[in-house]
Amino acid sequence: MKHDYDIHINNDEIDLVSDRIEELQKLKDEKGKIPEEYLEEYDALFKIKNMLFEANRMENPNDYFVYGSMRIKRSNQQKMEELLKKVHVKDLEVVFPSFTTEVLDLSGLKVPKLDNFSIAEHNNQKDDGVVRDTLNMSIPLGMDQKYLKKAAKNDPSISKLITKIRKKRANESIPHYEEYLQNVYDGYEMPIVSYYPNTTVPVVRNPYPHEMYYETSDGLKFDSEYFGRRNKYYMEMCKFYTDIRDEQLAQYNSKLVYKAYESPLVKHPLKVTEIDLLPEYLIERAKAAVMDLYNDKKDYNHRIKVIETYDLDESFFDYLNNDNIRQENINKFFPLPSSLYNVTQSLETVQNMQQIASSVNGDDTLEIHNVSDVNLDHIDDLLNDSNSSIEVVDTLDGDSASEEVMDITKGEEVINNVPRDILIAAGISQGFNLPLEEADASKIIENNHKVKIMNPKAGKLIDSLSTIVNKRVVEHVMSDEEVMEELGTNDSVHTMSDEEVMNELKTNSSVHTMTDEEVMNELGNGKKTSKKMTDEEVMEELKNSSYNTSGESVSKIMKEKLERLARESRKRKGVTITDEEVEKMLRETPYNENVNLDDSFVPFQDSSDILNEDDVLAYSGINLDESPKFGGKR
Amino acid sequence: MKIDNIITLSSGVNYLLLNELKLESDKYFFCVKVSEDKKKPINEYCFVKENIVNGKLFAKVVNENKMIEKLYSLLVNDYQIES
Repeated sequence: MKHDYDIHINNDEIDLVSDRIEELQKLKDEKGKIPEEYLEEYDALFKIKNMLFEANRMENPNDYFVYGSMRIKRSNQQKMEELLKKVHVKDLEVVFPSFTTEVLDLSGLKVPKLDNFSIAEHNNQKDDGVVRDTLNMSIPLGMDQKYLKKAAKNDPSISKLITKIRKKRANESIPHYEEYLQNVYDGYEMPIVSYYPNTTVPVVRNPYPHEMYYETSDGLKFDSEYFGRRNKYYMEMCKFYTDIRDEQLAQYNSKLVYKAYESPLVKHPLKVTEIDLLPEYLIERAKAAVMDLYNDKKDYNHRIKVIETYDLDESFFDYLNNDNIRQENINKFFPLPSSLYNVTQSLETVQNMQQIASSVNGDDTLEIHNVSDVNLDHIDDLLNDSNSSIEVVDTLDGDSASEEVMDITKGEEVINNVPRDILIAAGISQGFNLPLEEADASKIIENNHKVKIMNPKAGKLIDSLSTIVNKRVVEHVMSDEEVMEELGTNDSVHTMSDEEVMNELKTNSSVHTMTDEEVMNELGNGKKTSKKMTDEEVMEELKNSSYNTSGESVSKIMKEKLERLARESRKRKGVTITDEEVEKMLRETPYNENVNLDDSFVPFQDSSDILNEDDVLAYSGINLDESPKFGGKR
Repeated sequence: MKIDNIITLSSGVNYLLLNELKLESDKYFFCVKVSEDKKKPINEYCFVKENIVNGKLFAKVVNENKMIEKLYSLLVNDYQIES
């Protein structure tokens, strides 16, 4: 049996705490250590953070989520409150339901007679006056609009009170609560009447406590605390419903045990009973109350809707499923053709429900709403397996967050603008306000080959992807140019094809494995060898025979130079050489353009060496003194 | 529902389905909200569960922290394995 009630705290507390820790850590970096005056706070911050983590049942704090409201254990309330006093985190608001010491003025209120509940026993107040545990009980009035109106008609004071409340409501802006009250008045919602510990004071619970912060024209101050203890309207409503309830009690004497909770309880025009965790020592009382309800229900239409927002007390269903009780009372428990159940919790609960449902007679329909955490198909199977005429009528009504899919279209346009994987990466890094470090996001992205493939538009994009997607992509679809600009490579907006990439890789690669033929071609005529060289040997050979000037340019320069020298020599010697002869001479020299100089063995360092006239002539085999004599070799 | 499709819910909200995840035989999608004209992604991500009830297709945005945590782990895992 669980005793701890979870307590909501507002959004992003962990972020706020983390930010403050970060501030102090910066201070630590600057000063070398945490200044003494911050030590206590620093320690408290970590403890708070740990408590928040613990409450979220996260095994690894690094993986925590900040999503909606966080919760901490009520048992940690005092500890948390003490820690909070030590820290200075702006906007950090941890809201505890306040069931503390304020006692309402009971004068003038009729206190209902509760046969089966001794309120005094509910008190769990400790010596320091702080109530550790609370029990809030409500009486399901079973009333509907008709009954309310009847009650108001019979009692002018009630009618007057209703008028007064409605009139006041019009002047204030608490829309949800206004609506709630209106619905209560109209009989569409069951008021949840709560009791304060150690009192017999009933109050109508405000399901929208966060709206309750205002000051009325008559100077009445309302705070945002749950249950609005200083709220005059609550008191008025208390009186109103106390009156009604007494009459109801006289008629039906029906009771259930509720736990009032701070979450919005009722959203729909249905009469609602909330059954939630019960302190263990009260479970017997709850059973008794349920039995009373069974025994007394008779001709009164009572719809039971179990709203499960947190942990449904399965022992309650165990109780209901007790064979003896069930056989005797189950039909009483489902007196209506349409008994409404909201089940969201566990499969076990569903199985229990199925057992109960199997006993529903005749044309009764069990509607299961809001089965968010349970496999719908499984429920369906369970129900179909039973011999009853149960069917899942509507599992996805407005009570659930489910929505019908009205249209499906292809998302090509979006995907084309921002590749899917980039969107995913962006989502991972920021989709849930996750505290995912940029480095982690980068890691994920870098590990993802698909991202690389899908985004050939900018090779460097990968490196900066997390930065870019965080900054831009998801808000603005960037063009190629914008992406490149973001990367600071405006001069390279060309999108390379796969072929171009491969060529680029081949050209620059030093690890290309050459075939024998390639090696021979590269090496030219003079390097034939019967030995098959290994790739490494080939590369070594090539490395040793490299030039600063490419073979092509050397060859071209040589040709030009030779031609020029030939012309000049002819001119000088008065010899006339035809162009054809020059061509022939060049062809017959071992260094004509067909020779791949790149692979020759002349270790020239640059073209100026080559252009030494004597060398050229010597290599060309031209003896100017003996010209014209072509084709000679040195 | 399939990835790369945009679903329009009864509320008029559009989601682009980015990644499909299976958890305990249920099908979930990692989604990004897209603009009304279905042309631009909006910086809102969520997990959506596919439900088919009586032949009708429903989608439910996952709100439970624990479930989100599980799905998120799956998503990251899938994303890395795919590479």
